[in-house]
Amino acid sequence: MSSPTLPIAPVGHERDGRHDWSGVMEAIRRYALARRKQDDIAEDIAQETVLRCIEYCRSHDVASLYALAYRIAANLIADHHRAARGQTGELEESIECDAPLPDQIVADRLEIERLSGALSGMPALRREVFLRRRLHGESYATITKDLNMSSKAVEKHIGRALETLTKAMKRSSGSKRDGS
Amino acid sequence: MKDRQITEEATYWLEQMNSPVVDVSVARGFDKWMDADARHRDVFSDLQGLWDSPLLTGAARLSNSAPQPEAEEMAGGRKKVMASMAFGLMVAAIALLVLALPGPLFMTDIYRTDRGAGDHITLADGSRATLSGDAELEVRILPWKRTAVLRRGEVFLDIAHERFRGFTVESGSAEIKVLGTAFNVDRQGEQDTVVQVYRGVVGLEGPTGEYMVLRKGQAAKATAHHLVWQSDFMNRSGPDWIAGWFEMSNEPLGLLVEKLDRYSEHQIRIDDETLARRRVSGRFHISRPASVLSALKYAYGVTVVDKGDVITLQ
Repeated sequence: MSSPTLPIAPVGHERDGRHDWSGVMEAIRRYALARRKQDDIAEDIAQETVLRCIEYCRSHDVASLYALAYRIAANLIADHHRAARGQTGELEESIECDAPLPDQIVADRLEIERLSGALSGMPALRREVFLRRRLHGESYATITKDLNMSSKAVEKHIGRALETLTKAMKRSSGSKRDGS
Repeated sequence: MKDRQITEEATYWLEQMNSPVVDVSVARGFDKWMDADARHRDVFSDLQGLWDSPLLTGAARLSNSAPQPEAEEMAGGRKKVMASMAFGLMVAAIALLVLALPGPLFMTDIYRTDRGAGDHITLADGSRATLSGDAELEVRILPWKRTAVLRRGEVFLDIAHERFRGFTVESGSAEIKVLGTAFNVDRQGEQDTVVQVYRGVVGLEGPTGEYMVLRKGQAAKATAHHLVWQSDFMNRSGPDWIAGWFEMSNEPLGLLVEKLDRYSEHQIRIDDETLARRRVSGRFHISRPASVLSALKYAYGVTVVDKGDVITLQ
């Protein structure tokens, strides 16, 4: 393996104290909403994420604030679900990392059905490309080779698939999302 | 169309920023793009949120296993093309599978990092691993089981949960059985292994079959002969070494040198056994070996001999 650069890497101090965090905050709020549609949690996650980012940036130089923020938010969301599960008294061992909360199971099931419906409605090739990348974690390189297409075409299929899926999610969320 | 263009750009960044290796210039480009327009941030956040959502995993699994009816829904000519394409793909997939057995399906991936250079990797099952410098991890993902062997170095693993396919890590005398969870494995020398759990639960089996269950915030050490509890550590989302720090409380200097060696471009050695056993405490910035070495000089009166390729402590 050659010497890779981690996403969080020293890049100098140009960001110190000068970054406007409102963009990051809004991005994380939106991210948390897209993960699970609970407005109150999204707000908390966004605030906590920015606080931790600021704290982290005091002692580290960060190449991408947004990448750091998404990673912190993903961990917080996972922690939140674990904590909520703890209250239900379920055994930790028997649970998936991101298993749904009991009060969300029905809503989640509907969401899964909606998403899988959107996937089924896609052209077969597009679904194939998307499943290979997202479900099986195959690289662009593998997909281009196996399906004999350019990486630009792979990207396009994934982009269109994501577009279809986000639309399906938004249709379902009604007034809970701001819809902008 | 503007919206579609933003989605396309966001898809590009999604791929870039979620790849195991992200270059600094790419990371900066990403922030620049995000800062440029609120719509960029909105669209990217939606896509990243969807991409990370376990609901999407559920939907993808469902869609992957279900027969696909959509060919009939499509219009005439296109339907034929798609159907034959699907058939072609199926034949190709079967051919691949036949050709591949026992090829790639049974292949072992070996990840090695150079001294001074760690790495983030995503395994074939979607699990993530962060390797320290000078580490070697061997991974086999089979249809019925997932195993990894840590030959040297340190690895932080975030394992994708699968109900019917466990994940086992071997390191020295220890065998670690995993459910969906995040934990750190530190191979210390030939035999010893320290395991710290950051999320979920792991089972740790020692050389004599001794078995221990570790929960979040707990740690244990497996030596050549037995398992030992280690005091609970602070619960964070990941270990310190990823950020370049190592905390020691009354532990041998040799261990610190081993850690420094992973971060250093030149080999760092300690030849004197007595010195290696000497107990030290403190929080060390191991990603900066030179400054730690000079601190050791003053704090512990250690002599550091730098011969270019090898740095020796005396």
